[in-house]
Amino acid sequence: MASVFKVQAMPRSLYETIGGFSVISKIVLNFYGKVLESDKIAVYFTDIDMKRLIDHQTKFICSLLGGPASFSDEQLRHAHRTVQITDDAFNEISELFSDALHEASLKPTDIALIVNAFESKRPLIVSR
Amino acid sequence: MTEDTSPLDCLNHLSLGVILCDAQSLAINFANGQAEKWFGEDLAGRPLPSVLTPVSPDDLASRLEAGRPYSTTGEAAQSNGRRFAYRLTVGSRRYGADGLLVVEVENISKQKEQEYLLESFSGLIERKNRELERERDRTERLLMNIFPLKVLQEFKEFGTTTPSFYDDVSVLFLDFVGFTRMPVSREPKRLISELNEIFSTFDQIVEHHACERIKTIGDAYLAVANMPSPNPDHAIDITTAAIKMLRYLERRNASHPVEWSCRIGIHTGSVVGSVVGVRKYIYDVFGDGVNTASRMQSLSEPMRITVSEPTFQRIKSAIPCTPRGMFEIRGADRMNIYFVDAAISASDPDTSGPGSSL
Repeated sequence: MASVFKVQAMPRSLYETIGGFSVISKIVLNFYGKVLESDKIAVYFTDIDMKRLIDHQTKFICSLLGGPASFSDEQLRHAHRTVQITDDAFNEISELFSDALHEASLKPTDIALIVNAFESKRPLIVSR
Repeated sequence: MTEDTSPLDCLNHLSLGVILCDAQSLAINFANGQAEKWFGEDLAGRPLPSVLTPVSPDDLASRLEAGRPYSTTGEAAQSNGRRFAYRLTVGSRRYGADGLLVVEVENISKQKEQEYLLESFSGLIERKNRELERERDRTERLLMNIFPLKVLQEFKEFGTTTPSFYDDVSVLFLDFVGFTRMPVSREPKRLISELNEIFSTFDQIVEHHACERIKTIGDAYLAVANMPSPNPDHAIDITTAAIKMLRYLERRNASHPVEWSCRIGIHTGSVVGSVVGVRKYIYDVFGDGVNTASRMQSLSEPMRITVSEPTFQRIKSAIPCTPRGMFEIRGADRMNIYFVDAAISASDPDTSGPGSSL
């Protein structure tokens, strides 16, 4: 009878396999610094306060990795609707993000997965 | 005083922002290189609060009055657009004859970034926890519908339940008469909604009398008493519940277009209770007690309760019954069975609890 009640183990999310919050926090802070240091994209963030930007990046990265947050596509589109983000800017952000993932010592296969997931959001973020 | 001769030149190469201002007017006399990098050039002559907006002149004055340093934090955009967080501290000491204040500004972006990150993340976790809690409540409510409380507790504590044998359980079987021929059968939605309303009321009656609903099978209703939680008055309690079910139906029929009529059978005997199922669990009961109760139901008549000999022996002192003679129960078994005289017991004050208003 005991086996009847065993709950099947859930597949672990990328968020868990890469090391959870301690790794996420490194990625978020590193990425945040890179974004603000970049001449190409810092202009997008001059009027946004730190708290909001970090909050946004934390939630976005967590949701990209299957952590405890979920941004719907509609929310992402809404958040970027007034900012004229170009493909160049998006490419720059994508590179910085990928750098931040490498610097957090993630496995190349995991990085490829995450960068792909990031890329899939391009149409929601870049203005057409 | 030109820059190359000023002794203040040594302050220009600090990573700390240093601003000197007049203690009375708060007008800035000097800002070092770092302060100018952060807050812009040509700060001299401007009042401190217009440059460092978080500064409150009143708070500053009262802190200095008390001989204590003043400190506050803020955020600003540098000339290159990058925002940073800073903490400024104004020392309580005044320098020179005019009273000069020294304002130190340090970059606390890294600390703030971590603070904001933690805040954001703990917000996510708290929200997730609330969602999980709601989910757990929902699951528990669902499980409580399926399992008797005692079984649920055993399951939660040990992660498993074991089949249990109960030798003295009263079992109630109820079935509606001519259910398939009822006019609502042509309107399945209405039929289910009415049945749901009736079974929900039965559940309340059963619970009120310390009995336990086991399951419904189509239009049949099965309840027990004295398992899994003990109830020494199980036979009387379950018979009283049966009487109330009939009374509820009578009252309901008087004011509804569709008439619901049922047969009820009750037997007291042995039962095994267990959780069964692989994916879809149900707590179910098996054994002679259940079979005989089912037989009592089929021997009963519309809007009557039929009880077996063992049940009769336990309720006869409290609930009047009428003998119906010997009936064949199963195979060669024969038994005296009885009608419960529901009309007489209706005046029994013992049965007029809150449940009787149903």
